[in-house]
Amino acid sequence: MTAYLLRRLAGLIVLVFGITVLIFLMIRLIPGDPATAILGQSASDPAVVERLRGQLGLNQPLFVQYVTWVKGVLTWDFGYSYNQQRAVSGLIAENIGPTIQLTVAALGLTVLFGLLFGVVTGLKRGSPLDTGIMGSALAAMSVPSFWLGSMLLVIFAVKLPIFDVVGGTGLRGLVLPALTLALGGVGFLARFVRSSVVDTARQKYVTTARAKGLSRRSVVLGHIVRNSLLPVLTVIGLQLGNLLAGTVIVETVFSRPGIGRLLVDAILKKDYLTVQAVVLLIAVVYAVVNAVVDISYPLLDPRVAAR
Amino acid sequence: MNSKRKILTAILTVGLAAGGAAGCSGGGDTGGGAQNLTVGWASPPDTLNPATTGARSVGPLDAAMFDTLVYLTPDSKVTPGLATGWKAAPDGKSYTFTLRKNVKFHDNTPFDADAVVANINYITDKSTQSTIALGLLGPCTHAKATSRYEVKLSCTKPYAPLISQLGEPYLGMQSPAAIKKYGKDLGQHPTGTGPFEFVSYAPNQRLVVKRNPDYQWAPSATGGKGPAKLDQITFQFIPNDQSRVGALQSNQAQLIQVTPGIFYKRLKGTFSQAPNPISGMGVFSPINAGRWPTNDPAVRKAIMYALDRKTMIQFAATGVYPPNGSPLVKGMFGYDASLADQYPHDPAKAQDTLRKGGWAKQGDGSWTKGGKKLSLIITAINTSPTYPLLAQAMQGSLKQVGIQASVQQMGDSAWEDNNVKGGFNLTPLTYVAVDPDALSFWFNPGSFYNWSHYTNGRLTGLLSQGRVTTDETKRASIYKQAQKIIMDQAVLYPIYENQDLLTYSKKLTGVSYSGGGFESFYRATLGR
Amino acid sequence: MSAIEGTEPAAALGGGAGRAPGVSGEGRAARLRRALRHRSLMIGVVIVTVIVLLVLLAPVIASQDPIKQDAASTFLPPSGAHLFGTDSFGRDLFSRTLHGGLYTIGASLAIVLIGGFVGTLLGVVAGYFGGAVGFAVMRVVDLMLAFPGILLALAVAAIMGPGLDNGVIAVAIVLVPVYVRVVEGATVQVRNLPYVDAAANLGARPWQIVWRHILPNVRAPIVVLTTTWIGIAALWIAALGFLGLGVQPPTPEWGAILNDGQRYITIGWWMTVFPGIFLALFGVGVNLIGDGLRDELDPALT
Repeated sequence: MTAYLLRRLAGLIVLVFGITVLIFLMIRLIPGDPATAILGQSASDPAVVERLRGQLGLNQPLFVQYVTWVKGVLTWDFGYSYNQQRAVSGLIAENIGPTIQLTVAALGLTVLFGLLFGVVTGLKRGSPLDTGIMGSALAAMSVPSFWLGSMLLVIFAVKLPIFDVVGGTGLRGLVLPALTLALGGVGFLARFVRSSVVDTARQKYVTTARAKGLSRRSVVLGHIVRNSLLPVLTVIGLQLGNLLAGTVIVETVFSRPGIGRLLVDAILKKDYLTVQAVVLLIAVVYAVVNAVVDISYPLLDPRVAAR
Repeated sequence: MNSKRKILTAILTVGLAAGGAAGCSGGGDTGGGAQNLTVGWASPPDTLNPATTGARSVGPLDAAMFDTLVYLTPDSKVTPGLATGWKAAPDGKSYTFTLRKNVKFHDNTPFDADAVVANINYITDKSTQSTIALGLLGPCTHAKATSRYEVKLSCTKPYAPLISQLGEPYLGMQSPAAIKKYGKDLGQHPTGTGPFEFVSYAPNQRLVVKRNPDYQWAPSATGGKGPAKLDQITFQFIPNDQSRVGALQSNQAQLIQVTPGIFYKRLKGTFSQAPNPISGMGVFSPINAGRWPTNDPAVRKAIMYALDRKTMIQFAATGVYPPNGSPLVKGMFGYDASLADQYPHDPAKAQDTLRKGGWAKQGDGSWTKGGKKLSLIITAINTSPTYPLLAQAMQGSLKQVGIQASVQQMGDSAWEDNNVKGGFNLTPLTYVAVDPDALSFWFNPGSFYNWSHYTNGRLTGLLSQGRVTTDETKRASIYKQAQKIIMDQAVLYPIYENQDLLTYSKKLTGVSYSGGGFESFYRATLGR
Repeated sequence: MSAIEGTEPAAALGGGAGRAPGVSGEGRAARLRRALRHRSLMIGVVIVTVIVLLVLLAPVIASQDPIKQDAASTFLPPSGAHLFGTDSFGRDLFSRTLHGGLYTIGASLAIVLIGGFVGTLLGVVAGYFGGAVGFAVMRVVDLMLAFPGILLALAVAAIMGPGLDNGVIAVAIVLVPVYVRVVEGATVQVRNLPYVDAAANLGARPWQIVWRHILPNVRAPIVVLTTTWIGIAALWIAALGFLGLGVQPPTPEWGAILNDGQRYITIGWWMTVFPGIFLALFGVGVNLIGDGLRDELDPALT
């Protein structure tokens, strides 16, 4: 168990190291001089360009530049956004709350409805209910979220003013974005849970349990559902990454503050230090969550640790 | 350290926040007689610091919190503001301002000559990196307090535009104590003397300001006296057109700015409306004389005839804006109405001009000269939907006479960079100014905004004369001549008079603007 | 959140890992018959065929110029003259939607072709030869998969700048590691089979072994992966268009048409509904085909 934990932890550290290297190199791939690219309009002043070159250590070897950058990141210093005239860390601090709120809400919806629909359709395989829900799940995965978002916005916030149009951080401003963000994931998870339930229902121990004369209810809940949940955990971990990345579009459609919209604005404005920081943040969160999912496996299923 | 804790707090409070803030917007009809206005504002600010902002849209926000030395009436007359009077030196190289007494900043710092000096020093300090504000000062970058309430502003050479430009919100007076205290973070703590004081600012989200109860120094030209009537204004930043209109329709905002043309038409009657005229050069496109094929005057002139501003306004904004045919818009000092008729929309004449310029029409309707096919690059800044729409409309007009054009949308800094480097032939944009000296920013050699990439000795001469001439008749004639050259050379295609289309609840009255088109909420009230 | 919806986990979990190599007991004809009976596969094929035909025949069916502006006919609702209505430039939306499919579907095909080719190549190399090269390739793959897909595409697009071709490259780059992982796994399994070993010992050249033994065996997961990703790629290209990083106007790509129409959603439903339906139906159709193919080609899962 401890060995497994340590191995996973080491893997995570290597991965995060790799992520930092890749993101660090990203900004060096921009055609032209990175300092001029970062400054954009302010680059007309040679003194400012020179100062930034010094800050980024552009006159030093690549390795030294990397170390300088990582040192900054570790002390929560991502540099200065010349476009927004703010420290990038401040921008992130202001925008991360609404994004966490949105992502957590959407993840909750995804898990709740994904499991519900998946289990129901898995148990009622072939029924009209199954066909209906699975068809909708497929449609949900195929509809562009920016389109769905604006439709929901018009119907439920403008025509029928049930929810807020302006992405406030209150509950009334959260429902529509969270729904939009969750929908594709619900479809995906429902399909996955369904096949997992169908697989489990065919396993020997389920047949045995049935043969033992256990009630249908306890077979379903105690055996089928419980055992289908394990692979689902992985999918939820992976879904979180998609949800985080999905905030990019949903926050834009709903005019919500958050790091997704911060990222889009930064990309369009070529505010590279902000792009770098946001991408790093999302990637690291994603990596950590998936490692946590992996680590929690043996707690739920001792067989994994034994392997 | 601080931000780390902020994040932790953010994470911890997420769960609680969900229920808490519901209904915090849309306060327009909350009880108790409180006057809370929510405004749907289109562009999130780059910074609220008037000295360092580079965005026109920040002007009106700053105008709520900051006062300027002079006040510009809606028709751009210069009247007393924080300065009760001023006198130009006989050589035109310095101005002495007498300041209003008993004025204090929101942080209770008194406003006096030293405060003005601190502001000028702050703007001109290289590390401040001021863009708009610094440009407005021109060569007048030195201030000296001659007594407690008298300050002398000196210029290296006479600068006629100065006095009216001092009335733009970008030269709003900031508390010297705040400048000292906040340094680079000044934009998060705007501290002025204006009718509203800063409450909170969440970037990309909202700015909240509240009434300044001590405000007794309103410029008399505003017609108001004492503190503002509204208790609080929330500027909610909603860049998405559809959502902004939706916020108004569902009363989550009682006023929206930059109403898209088609909605402006459709909402007429249901809401009050005001087209706030924005002075300057209106919406126009420089024609790049430094790049093939628009380095050929025949092509430039053909473009002037081929483009159809009426259809362009129809496509981009369902025809709500008044067309403009001269470099300066109506109402600007030096405006010349006769220029508008120089290039009527005339596809036949456009083709004629090309033919006379040595271009040959091919079987497929395109034009060639020396084996090269006539084709243009139209770029458009993508921060507002209007410019890509205008670019597409230009593309359509040009296609009708056989001029091929591609459209490229760009983010703001990439676009500016491309404009400076000259990687385009046409690009629709707007330029806001209160003085005709704006033209010198666009046509002086080496100027940042010389995006027509065109210089002409006589034009440059006229523009520098305009800067130092104080006689109004002479000055007006100088700018008319300058505009004539610009039109004759076809280096700029005027499109329409820029307006900020405001749409607002009928309960809201008293919204006005100061010279230049900066919205003012000082006298606004919300009825029952 | 469908545009961002990654089916990469599905592909990774369902496509490659479970496949037992070398199982092809059934005859080709029998397999085809079975496939035809597969309901979702059939529905998917019908939907996609209809859309592709409409798109390919666009110049014939939709004879109006998709970029021709007409000030006299802006914002017209659907009618006999304009089946899907017109947009803010008076352009015919039926024509724009059909012509637009060529860009959206073309771009998504280009994405899976580029991503699939490079990914398969790297996957085979890493899986067959292993060693330091294989190790290095797989570690880079792990690293790239550590980013949520569209985030990586956005970051790449941010560096390369807007444009449809750049968008295609950005999404294709995201796709490469997905293919590498699946193909590498399958290759390793086949590589270790006794008869492949025997062939190598008999002096067959590596490329012959790859061509004759490895590729036929990784074909199934590749086909499934490719179908699934065509749908996702179409959504992502549309999403990039929505964020202003896709095609440049007036090119009628579905995402761009939707983005134009979204601005007038309360004024004219037709500007977003028709192209939206096409995009969504295309995604549904492709996904149905993917599902069906997975069932047919991957007996281990059914």
